[in-house]
Amino acid sequence: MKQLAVLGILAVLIVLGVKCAPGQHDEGGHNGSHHLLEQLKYISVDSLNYEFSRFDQVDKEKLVQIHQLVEGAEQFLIPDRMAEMKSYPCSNCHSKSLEALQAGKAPGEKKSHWDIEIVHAKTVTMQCTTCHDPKNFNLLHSLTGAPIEFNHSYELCGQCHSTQQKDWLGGAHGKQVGGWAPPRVSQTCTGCHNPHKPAFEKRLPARLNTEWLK
Amino acid sequence: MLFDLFFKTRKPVEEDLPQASDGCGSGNCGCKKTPEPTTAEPDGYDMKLGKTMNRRAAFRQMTAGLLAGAGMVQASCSATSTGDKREEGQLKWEEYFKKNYRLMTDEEKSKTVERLERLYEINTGKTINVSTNGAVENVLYGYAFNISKCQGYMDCVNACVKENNQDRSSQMQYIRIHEMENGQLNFDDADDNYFHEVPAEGHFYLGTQCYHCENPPCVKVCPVGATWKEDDGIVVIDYDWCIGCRYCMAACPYDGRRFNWQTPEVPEEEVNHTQHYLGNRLRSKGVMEKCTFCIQRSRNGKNPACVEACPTGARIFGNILDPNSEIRWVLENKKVFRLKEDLGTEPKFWYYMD
Amino acid sequence: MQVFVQFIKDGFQSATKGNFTYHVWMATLTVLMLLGTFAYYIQLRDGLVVTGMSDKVSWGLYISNFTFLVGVAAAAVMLVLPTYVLKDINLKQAVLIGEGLAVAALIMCLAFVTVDLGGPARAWHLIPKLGYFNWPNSMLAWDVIVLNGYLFINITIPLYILFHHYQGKEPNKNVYLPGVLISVFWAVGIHMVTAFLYAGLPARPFWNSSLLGPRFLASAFSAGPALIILILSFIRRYTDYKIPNTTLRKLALVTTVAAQINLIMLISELFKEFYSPTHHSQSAVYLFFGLHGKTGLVPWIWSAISLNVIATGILTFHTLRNQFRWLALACGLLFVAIWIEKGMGLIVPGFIPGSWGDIVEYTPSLVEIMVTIGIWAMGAFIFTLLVKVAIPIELGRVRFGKRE
Repeated sequence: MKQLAVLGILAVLIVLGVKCAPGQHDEGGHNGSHHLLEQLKYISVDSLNYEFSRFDQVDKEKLVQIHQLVEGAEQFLIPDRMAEMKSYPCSNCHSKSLEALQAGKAPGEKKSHWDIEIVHAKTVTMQCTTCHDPKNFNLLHSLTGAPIEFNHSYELCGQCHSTQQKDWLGGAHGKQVGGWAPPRVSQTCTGCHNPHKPAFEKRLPARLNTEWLK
Repeated sequence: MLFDLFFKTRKPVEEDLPQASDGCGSGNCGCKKTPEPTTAEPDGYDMKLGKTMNRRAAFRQMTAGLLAGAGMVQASCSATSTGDKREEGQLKWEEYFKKNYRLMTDEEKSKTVERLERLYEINTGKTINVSTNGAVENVLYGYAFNISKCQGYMDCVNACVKENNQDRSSQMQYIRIHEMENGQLNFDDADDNYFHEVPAEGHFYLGTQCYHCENPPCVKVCPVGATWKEDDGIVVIDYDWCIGCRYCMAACPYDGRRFNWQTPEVPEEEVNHTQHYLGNRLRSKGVMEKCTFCIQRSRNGKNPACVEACPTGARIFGNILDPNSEIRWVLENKKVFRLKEDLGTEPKFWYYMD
Repeated sequence: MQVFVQFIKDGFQSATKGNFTYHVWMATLTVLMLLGTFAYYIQLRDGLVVTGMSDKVSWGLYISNFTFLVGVAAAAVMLVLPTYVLKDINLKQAVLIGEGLAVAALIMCLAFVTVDLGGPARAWHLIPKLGYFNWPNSMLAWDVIVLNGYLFINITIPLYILFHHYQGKEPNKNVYLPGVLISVFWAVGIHMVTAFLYAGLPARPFWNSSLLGPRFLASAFSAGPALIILILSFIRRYTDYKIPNTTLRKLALVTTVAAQINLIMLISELFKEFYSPTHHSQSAVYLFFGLHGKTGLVPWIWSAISLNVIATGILTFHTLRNQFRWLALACGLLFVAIWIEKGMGLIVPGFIPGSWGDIVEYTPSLVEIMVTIGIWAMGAFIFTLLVKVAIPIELGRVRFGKRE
C-alpha cells in the first residue's frame, strides 16, 4: 500500500510537470529558440500587397521625391515645402540683391526679418548667408555655393549633421508621414525643426502621466 | 466613523444612489451620463452606509443585494421608448450568449457588430462603425522608440486616450512616460508623475506600453482564452469574453494591461466612432483592456495614434517582415534593446538611441 | 431511494435542531453572510473600484484568502491517508471532520475566486465546451479542474460512508478506498497547482520560486491540522463525540513537523533574498523592511513571523505540546500566522514594487473586508451544518427508521 501511494504521487507530479513545463512556443509561428531579430533574417515574404498606401492619408500631389544622395539609397517622399511657404517665391519682395538692399537702406529703417532670432550654431560658424543664397533669395546654397531648392534643404543640413542625415535616409530619424505602409513618406528636416532655432523647446507636458489632474 | 475611514480613501465614483440600480453594466456603456461635478455631494457610499439612510431604504438595498447575488439582475438603460427597450433587452440577451470572438464565423461576427452598433444607436442616437478587419497577410507589427528623441511632452498619451475611448473618470492611460536621470536606465528612481517643463536638464524620457510580445505571458495564463496574439502579432482582448480575473495583469512583466475597476465613462461627444471589435470599442466595467497598436488604424495602413501625435518623431512603427520598412532599418542599423529580455517574452517593441 | 430521501430529511432535522447557543451561532453567521451579500451587491453595482485593489496591486484580500483556504482544504484530507490506508484508527474520528472542513474550505475558495471576478456573470465562459477553456496552458484552468474535482470527491466519499452508517451498514472498502487514495493525491495536487499559479509568473520574481510549492504544502499541513485540532477540542468539549487524546496528539505531531519544515523553508528563503540581494529581492525588502519610506506590510509580516516562531516553539517542546491549553494556543497562533503569511506576506508583496519599480500600497476596503467576513461566515455555516448532521449518525443516534 505504501509503495502504491508513493508511486501515485510521483505519477501525478510527472504528469503535472510534462503538461506545464514547455511554454507555448508554437503560437503565431514566429517563435523558436532564436531571437526574433535573428529569425527575421530567415523569413522571406513572398509578396507585400497591401490594399492601402500612404497616399490614402496624404495627397500625392503635395509630396516630392528626395534626391538620391547615396548610391542605392531609397528615394522616398517628403512634403512639398515650397508649395506650403506663404510668401514664396521670395523674390516677390526681395527683388534686389542683398548688397543693393543693404546699401539702399534708409537710416533707422528696420531690416527684413528682424524678428528672426538665430539660435543655430555660433555666429562665427553660421550666419544668414551660410544657408541663404544672397544673390538669389529663392534658393539656398551649399557651403561651396551650389544652389539648393527649399524643398531639398536636407542637402544643406546634412553638410554638418551627417549622422542625423544617415539616420534620416535609413528611417530612424524623421517622423513617418501618412502611416506605415509603402511608399515611404517622411518629414523633412524643416518639417520638425525651425532652421533658425532647430532645438525643440521646453514646455509643459500635455498632461500629467499617471496622476489625476485636479 | 469606521465607514468614513474606509470610504474616504477610495476614488470618487460619480454614480449616485437613485440611478444606481439601472446599471449601465453590460455590453455597451455609452449610456448617457454627463457626470455632474460632484462637489460637496456625498458619494455613493456615504449615502448608502452613512447616517442619511433610513431603515427601510437600507432594507430595500439589502434585498436588492440578495437578488443581485442570486441571479444577475440587468435592467436596461434609459431608452427612448418601450419598443426600443424591448429591443435593447433582446439584443443584450443575445450579446450575453455570444461566443468567443475567435470561434465566431464571419456571419456571427457581423451579427454581433450589428447588435453593438444598434445598441449604441438606441442609447445615444448616434452611430458607430465597428470593424472586424482581420490581420493583413505578411505583416508583423513592430515598434521602435527613440529615447534620445523623446522630450516627455506626453502628446502621445493624450492622443491615445482620445483615439481609444479610454475611461475618462479614472484617467486610464495605456502609455507611461518615465523621466530618467542621465547615466542610468533605472526605473526605481524614474519619475512617472512629473509635471514641470520638459525636457528637464540632465534627464531623458522613456515610454512604456504593451509590447505585444511574440511570446506573451498574459495570453498563456488567461483561463478563458479571452486574450490572444493575432497573426499580425497584435495581442488583443475580447472584451466581451473576459471574465475579469486579472491573471494576465499579474503575468505581464511590463505593466501593459489595464482593468476597468468601474464603468468607464466617455462623454458621447468625445467618443471615437471609428472602432474595431478588438480595438477601441467601448468597454464595460470589470474587463481588461490595453494598447492594441490602434488596431482600428494600423490594419488600414495608418500609424497608431501615439506615433502620429509624437511631435519629435521618436516613435517608429511598421511591418518588420518588410525588408524596406523604416522599422526594419532601425532594427538592423541602430543599437536596439528591449526591456527585461531575460524573461524570454520577445517584445516587438524596441528602444534605440541616436 | 426512499432511504436516501429519509436520510436527507433526518439530516435536515439534525441541522435545524439544537440548543440556544447553536441557534445564536447560526443566526450570527447568517447576519454576517447577509452583510457580506450586501457588500458584494455594492461591489457588483459599482465595480471592483470599491475594493482596495488597483492596477498596481490587482489581487488582494480575496485571492489571499483563496490561497490560504486551498491549503486548509488540502491539509484536511491528508489525515485520510493514515486512517484508511495505513489502518491507523486514531485519526478516524478526525477524518470525517477533516473532509467536512475540506468541503467548507473549498466552497469558500470558489466563493473567493468568484467575488474577485470583474464579470461573475460571464463565469460560464470557464465551462469546457460551452465556453473556452484554456487548458492545459492556463494554471487557473488547472485550478478550476482540481478544485471542483476535489470538491466532488470530498462530497461523495463522506456521503457514501455516512449513508452506510446511517443504515447501520459497514461501507464497502473496495468502493471508497480508491476514492480516498485519489483524494490524497488530489490534495497535494490542488495545493501544488495553486502554488504553480503564482510560481509560473516570471513577471513577479517574489513568487517565481521553485520553493513556493513545497512551502505551500508545509504551511498548509501546519495550518490545516491546527484548525482541526481546535475544532476537535471544541467538539469533544461540547458534544458526546468521543475523541481520544491520542488523536489530538497525533495531529499535533503532524502540525509540529510541518511547522518546523515551514520555518526551515522560511529561513532558506530569507537567506536567498538577503544574503546577496538582487533587484529581484525588492519585494522581500519592501515586505520585511519597507522601501522608499513605504512600510505598509512590515507590521504584518513581523507579527506573522513572531507568531509562527512562538507557535512552533511551543509545539516543539513535548511538555508544552502535550498540555491541551498550550496546544490550543499554539494552534491558534499558527493558524493566524499562516493566514497572514499567505495574504499580506505573499500575494500582496508580489505586486510591490510594480513592474516599473513604483510602490503603490494596498489596504483592503471595508466592502472587501465585509465580503471576506461574509464568505468566512458562509464557510463556518456550511461546516457547522455538515458536522451537525454527521456526528449524530456517527454516534449511532440517527439511524434509518429510528431516531432517539
